Order: sequence, then structure tokens, then C-alpha cells
Amino acid sequence: MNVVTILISIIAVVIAIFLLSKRFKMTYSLLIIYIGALLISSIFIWFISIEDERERIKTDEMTNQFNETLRQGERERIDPLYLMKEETFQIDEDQELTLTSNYEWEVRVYVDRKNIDDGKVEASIYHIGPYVDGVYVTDSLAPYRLKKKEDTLGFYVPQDRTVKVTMGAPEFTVTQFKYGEVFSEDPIYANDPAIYLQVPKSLKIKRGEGVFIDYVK
Amino acid sequence: MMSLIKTDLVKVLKMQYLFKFKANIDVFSSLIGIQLLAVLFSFGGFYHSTHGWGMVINLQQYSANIVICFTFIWALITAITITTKPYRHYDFTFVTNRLSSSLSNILFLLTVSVLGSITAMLSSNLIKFIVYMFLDDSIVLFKQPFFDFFTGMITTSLYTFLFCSIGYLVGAFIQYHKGFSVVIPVLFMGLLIFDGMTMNSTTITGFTEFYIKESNPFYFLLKTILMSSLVLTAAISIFNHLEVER
Repeated sequence: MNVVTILISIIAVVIAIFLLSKRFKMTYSLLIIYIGALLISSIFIWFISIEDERERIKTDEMTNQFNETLRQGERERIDPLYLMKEETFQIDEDQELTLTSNYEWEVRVYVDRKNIDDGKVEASIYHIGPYVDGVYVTDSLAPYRLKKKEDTLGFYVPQDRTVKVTMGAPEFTVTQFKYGEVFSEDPIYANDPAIYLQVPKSLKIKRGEGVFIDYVK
Repeated sequence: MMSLIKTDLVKVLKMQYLFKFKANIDVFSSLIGIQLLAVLFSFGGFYHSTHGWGMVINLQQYSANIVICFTFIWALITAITITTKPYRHYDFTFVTNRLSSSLSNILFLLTVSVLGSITAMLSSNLIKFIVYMFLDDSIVLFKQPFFDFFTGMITTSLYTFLFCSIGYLVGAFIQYHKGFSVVIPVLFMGLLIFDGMTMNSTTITGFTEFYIKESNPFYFLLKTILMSSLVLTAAISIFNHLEVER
């Protein structure tokens, strides 16, 4: 509790003692104190309220669009907000590159062959979310890593980091009309990460553990 | 002896309403008590955890749902209370009849429904405020969309008034015959058990779903107003059949 809270509490107690004195009828005093507390808390919450950073994500539609855009090789259409990391690795075009991952499900890798053999693999990691109630909480996400060791390029997700989120949920008298049902929808949304690889045209790619390779059209 | 002074219903209604509002002001003490109790119960929040993407998200959600439900119970009890004998005796302070008495009661119930709903909706901010004061290392996502508050306030008022109407009818039945004070709770519990046993939303749950599953605000408004009117008309006609000063 900070100084402001203590100060507010002291003022509230003083007002309460004054109002609860015999000069006022008990019910009126209680009403004034209660409504006062409700209004003060409403003003306080108004000050600490946040705005949605983005439009609410419509999960399936968004996921399909995202994957389709990468499959088509139209990366420039993807919001830079979803780009987590970009890295370039030197490679010998004659070797075979194995892609692996420790991700709990298969991570999708989009392989885009360049027109030249420039000895470079340019990798980008994309990730949508996690969103909680439409607010992006990626700052709390430990960055994913790409590591090249000999002829293997690995995608590594760090150990689970615990994040505590406190949010106000809309009341059922609101969700009934807002979402069409009494219980509001799951406020947490995230899409699986995707890797976009631009590789030299003659480099051979081998699918390792935990990855699904999709070649860009 | 008959009075030669002509009475104006609107004037009588206004006087009775203002008098009842002042005389029954203590219902707000019970409202505050019941809402504060519900605020206390709301601190538990709703816990939800999910993991994936290298992260575990522990989400704690807070809302005024419990406060709203407690307000419904308060509305039901308040409406039953104002039909009891001591409260009905207030009416005889004025030149009155059953109709003006019931109409002023309905106006009073409408007022307390709106006030109870406003405080119930605002109490969500009180819950968030207290939770915020005791938070440690959590990401706080509090939003305050005005439109949501407005929608919630109107919907809660309608629900609360519906509960008031039902309470008023229950009160009327009890005043008609004391036996109903036993029959109605038994019937209510019996129907709930019947719904549970048949696994079918036919009676009480069916009635509840008729309202909470309505996602169209216009239809919801229509349903509540129609049902309240029907229930209140029934209550007024029961009161009209009561003997004077019964």
C-alpha cells in the first residue's frame, strides 16, 4: 500500500466518524459513505485503466491469415509487431541443413528459396500474442532462440516463465449481449510461433524433430 | 362520513411515493450490507491458468457478478417486505385505495431497482480498487468501457425490477393466505429438484434461461417489461381482493 492509499483511508475514516455521529440519520450516513467509496474507487480505476492496444483478435481468422501470408511469401504484409527476432547465419550451400525444435508442438517453418547462392540463411521468428483480453503481453515472454550448430539449425523455446495477470471481467449483464452468452470468452489468445527462412537456392533442407516444413510458393 | 374533496390520483401517488421513499429509507442500509458482503466474497475472483509458448499465464479475473446476484436477492426480499402489514399501514396515513398504494409501491421498487443496480455495477470498481491495493507483481489489465457500464446498469436494473415484481407477487400471495409462505418456497425448491432430476430446463431453470440466454437487447427489454407488468398486474388484483386493513 502506498502513501496515497493510507491518506485516502485516513480521510475516509474521518469523514465516516463525522457522518456516523448523531447529527445524521444512520442510513443517510451509510449511503453517503458507501456512494463516496464507490465514486472514489471508480475515479481511481478510471486513472489506471488501459486502452486496448489493438483490435480484439479473432483467433481462427487471424491464424489462417497469418499462416497463409507467410506461405505466399508476402512477409511485408505482416505487422512488424509480430516479428520477434531476425538473425542471419553463414552456411555452406553444399551441406544439408537439418531443422529441429524443442517446441512442445510442431513449429511451422516456411522455407523461401532465394534466386542466388549467397551463403546466408536469413531467419525470422514470428509470433502472435499472447494476448490477454486484447492486450499484448509479449514483454513478459522470454525471447525464443535460434541456434546453428554444424549442420543443424535449432529453434528453442525457453523454460516456462510464469506471468501473473489480474483483470476485471465484464459482468454477466454485459456479456449476455456483448458475447451472446453469460460466460465471456477465454481472454487469453496466442498463436504458435512460425519461422520464416530465406535460404540459398541450392541448399538442401532436412526435417528434424519438432518441425513442419512448408515451402513458400 | 364521506369527504367532498376530490382526490387527484397523480397527486396522491406522488405524496405516497415520497412518503414511502422516506419511510423505507432503511432498505438502503440492508442494500449496503448485502453488497459489501458480496464484495467480500468477490475477492476470491475467478482463477484461470494456461500454459504454452514458453510461458505460464495465471489469470485472476474480478467482476461484480456476486454483488449483482446478491442485489437480486435483496430486491426480492425488499419487495416481499413492503407488502407486509406494518408497511401497508403506512398507506392509511393518506387518502388512499389499493390501486394508488400498489402504484406507489411499484414506483418505489422501480427506484430502488435502479439505485441498487447502479451501486452494484459501481461496486466492481471498489473490488478492483481494493484488489489493486494488495497486488504484488502482477500485470494489471483494468478497462472501463463506458458503454459496458451503461449496458450493465440498464440490464441489471431490468433484472432487479423483475425480481422486485416477483417478490411483490409472492408478498401478495402471502398476504392473501399465510399458507403461501410455506407453499411458495416448497414449490420453488421442488421445481428446482425436478429440473435437476429430469436434467431438463423446464421450470425454474427454463425461466432463467429465457432471460439470460437472450442476446438481443430489444427482446430482453420486451421480455422483462412484459413479464414484470404481468406479474405486477396479478399482484395488484390480489391486493384489490383483500379486505380493507387486512
